[in-house]
Amino acid sequence: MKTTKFYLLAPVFLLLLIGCAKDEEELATPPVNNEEELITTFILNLENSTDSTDTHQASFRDVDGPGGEDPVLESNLVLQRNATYNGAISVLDESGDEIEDITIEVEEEGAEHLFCFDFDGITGVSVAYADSDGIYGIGILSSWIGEELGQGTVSITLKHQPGVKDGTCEPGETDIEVSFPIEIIE
Amino acid sequence: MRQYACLIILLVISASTLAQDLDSCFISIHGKVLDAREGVPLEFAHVSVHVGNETRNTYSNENGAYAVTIPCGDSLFLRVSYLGYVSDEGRFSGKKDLDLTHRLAYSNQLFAPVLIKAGRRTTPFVDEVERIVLNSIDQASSVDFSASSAILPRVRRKSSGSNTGKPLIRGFYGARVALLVEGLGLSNQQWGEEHAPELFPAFYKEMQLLADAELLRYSYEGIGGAINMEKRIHSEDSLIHYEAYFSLRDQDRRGAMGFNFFQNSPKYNLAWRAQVFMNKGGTLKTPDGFLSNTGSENRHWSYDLKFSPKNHQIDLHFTQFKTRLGIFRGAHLGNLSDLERAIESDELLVRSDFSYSIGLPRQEVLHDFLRLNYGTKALFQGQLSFQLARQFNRRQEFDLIRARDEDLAAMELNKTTWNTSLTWEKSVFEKAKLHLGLQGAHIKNTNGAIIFIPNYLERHLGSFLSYEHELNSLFTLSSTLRYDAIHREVFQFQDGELNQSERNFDHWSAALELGISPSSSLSFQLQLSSMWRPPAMNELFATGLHHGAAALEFGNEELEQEESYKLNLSTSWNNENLKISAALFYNRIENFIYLDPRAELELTIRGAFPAFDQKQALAHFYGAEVWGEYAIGKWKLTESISVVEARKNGNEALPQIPPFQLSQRLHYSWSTKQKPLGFQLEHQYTAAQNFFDPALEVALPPSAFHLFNAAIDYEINSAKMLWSFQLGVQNIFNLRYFDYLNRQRFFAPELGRQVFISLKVNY
Repeated sequence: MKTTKFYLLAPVFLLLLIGCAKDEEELATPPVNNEEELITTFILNLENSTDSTDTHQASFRDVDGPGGEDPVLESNLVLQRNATYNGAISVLDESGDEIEDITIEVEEEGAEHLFCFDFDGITGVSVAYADSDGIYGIGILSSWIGEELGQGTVSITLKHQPGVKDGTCEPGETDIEVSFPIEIIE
Repeated sequence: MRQYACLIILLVISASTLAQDLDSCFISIHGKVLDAREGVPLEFAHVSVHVGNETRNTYSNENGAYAVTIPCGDSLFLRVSYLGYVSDEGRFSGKKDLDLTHRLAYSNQLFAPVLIKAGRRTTPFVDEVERIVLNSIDQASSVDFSASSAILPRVRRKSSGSNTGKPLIRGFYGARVALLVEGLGLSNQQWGEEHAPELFPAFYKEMQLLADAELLRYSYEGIGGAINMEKRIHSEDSLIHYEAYFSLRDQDRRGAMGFNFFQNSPKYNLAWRAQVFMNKGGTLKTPDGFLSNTGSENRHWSYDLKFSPKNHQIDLHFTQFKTRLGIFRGAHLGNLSDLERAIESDELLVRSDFSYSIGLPRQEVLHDFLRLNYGTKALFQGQLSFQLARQFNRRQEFDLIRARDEDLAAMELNKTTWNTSLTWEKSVFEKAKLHLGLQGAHIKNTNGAIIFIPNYLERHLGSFLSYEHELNSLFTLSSTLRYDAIHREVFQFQDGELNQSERNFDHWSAALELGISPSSSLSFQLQLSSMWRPPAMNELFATGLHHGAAALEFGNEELEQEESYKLNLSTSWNNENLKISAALFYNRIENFIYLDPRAELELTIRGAFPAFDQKQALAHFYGAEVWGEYAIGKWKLTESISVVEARKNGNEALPQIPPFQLSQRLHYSWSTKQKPLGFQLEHQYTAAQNFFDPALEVALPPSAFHLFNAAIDYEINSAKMLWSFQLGVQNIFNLRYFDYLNRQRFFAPELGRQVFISLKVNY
């Protein structure tokens, strides 16, 4: 009978079910990690331009990324009225063994990035860009002056605006959005 | 096809036996249905004969032949229809026997108004809403698989953006709808919504919805429904035939071309077919402007070889599906404020001009499908078939993210699937048939970049027993019992450590289908089934930010398998001018998996996000479908209505349930046999979804809309060539509308007016 030929295929069928040992090796190897740098940490440092001992810091740390442990917020933005503060922002990836400074990349791609500063509940605080991509500011470096007493929050946003940067905060997508309490005192 | 070929026995409803009245006079009609061009017999052509109040329906067999006996009368009306072809009809004397030959000409009708009966069912007309023959010219101009499948009255399109979509059946899509190629499940990355099926419809000849009793012979998957693609190589002479098609669309300046070569050599028991298709389109346009970065490129090819010496059949099939697809820039979000701004804005937030270039973000997808089938007569004169198949699916996503090499994929998944099966079929008791089968699968899925779902290995073993019986001319029965066991090994990397775990799933599935045909023009069908679905890998493990929805989604490793219990009642009726088919369905799903919103927003460095957990609940899906076609003279009117409702935990809404839809189509044909010319107008009304849970919706469901489409087609039949032209307009009035089922509706309206022209040459 010609049908006997068919049964020759049966071992193939069995072999497949048993599976292949080499799969295990491949499955147990982690992929080459070429994922996006995770931004875990945002730090804003403010230093009084005339008094280098008058410094303030606000930070947001979420070392394990979204989900998991809750992020840690620390802030002491209590600024003197009419004093000029030099602002400097650091953006880090602290998720791995080595801390990676993403600020450098933001600066290199300054023409695609913009930090925006919005105040809520407080008036008279102005932030000026102290750096430039050639046309518009970036905001890694900035200059802060609070002219009125009060309390409120400052919301700092990093916008990614490849090809659409026009100096405003409207275009692009948000890479960072964090808020801190702020106070202007006498 | 083999499975079906045998089932013809079950199909033939002998109308004549119903009316064996000795006193009456009878005439018999014999006929043959052929393709006008190639002379190939057309199997399953629907033949409908009417004399006075008497109606008889039958279908042509493998040789295109049919026979009908009907009581005498003054005048006899006969119509032969076959999907994709122009119907042949005529009036004859009702007193003389007839012997006819019908040469049906191929038609280009865009929306395929004629539908045919499948061979596997005994109840007439039910299948008319479940099966279509695909016409490559339509496919060349259509966008993707989901758009083509939506030609089936019971299938709708679930879009994700303008370029990608999935078929949606009765409220189900994605992992709950199985897609099969000649009975073998397409093994792709089922997770998420942003992925279109890796199937190019024009490479297949026919698309059909599978009833559960049949589906369970192939797969345990598909608790919401299943679509099967069938291919055929047909030609009677041994010449090499070719078909070339070209199309242009104004909307995205898309050009497409395809070639199909085939040859059937009966002398050597050999048939082959080679097909290739490519297209390229630029930025899509809505009434609000261009959708930045929505160009696309497709390249598919396929090869078939069939060798069938006596009592044996070897079938080799290979398809490669390759696509490169731009994702709308405006749909990629950083955080919730971005989303809110997009929803509030009346205009597109990202503006662009027309371009063919595909930047970031984009998808690149490759799917290889290789299959070998071998069939022979064996074991007690049954038909034994063996199948071995390998599929490879690579999905790469290139994201719009900072400071990274554009040529590196942010996400890459590689899935290799081996399938094998052994089935045995045998006809028993004259009108019954038994199927037995054993199936195995080995699936390996690994990550090439960021870990979205863990690497895993899945082994599957399934077996089934199926029995079909045409009890008498009144009752038919079809039933399948199935058992599946799945073993999954999961390889997770947590903080650089490998964490290996295992999980097993197993379950029974069963389906029963009972058909009753009190007369040849009326039939009822009852379908009962119980099916299941193990939780998908993304539902178990995928945790992260969804950039298209500005939401954080958390996988749940505790999920149990879903279990579905389905009831479907349908009826169909036809006479000379009118065909009606209606269905009522109910699907109860225990442990239905859905995304449940958390009460609190989740704070991240990108701002606060709504967070969702994968949860399970008891869900009910129910609804109705009505389809009707009224033909008078050269006019034909088709109406189709579908309603689906879904609830969980009593009376809570589920998201993404399609709202009420009504489609109507008016077709006028000037067709003669050789030069069909037709015009068609289509109107589609989609209601607003009024039953929803605001907590589950990102934005309020959009309002109702009316869409209008039109098409005209013409054929020139020169000596050896057949030239078919088609001109069509979709969304004639350039309506600005939003589709509730499309997640991109937050960012952009649906496409505006689309004008396309296509040409096909057959030799």
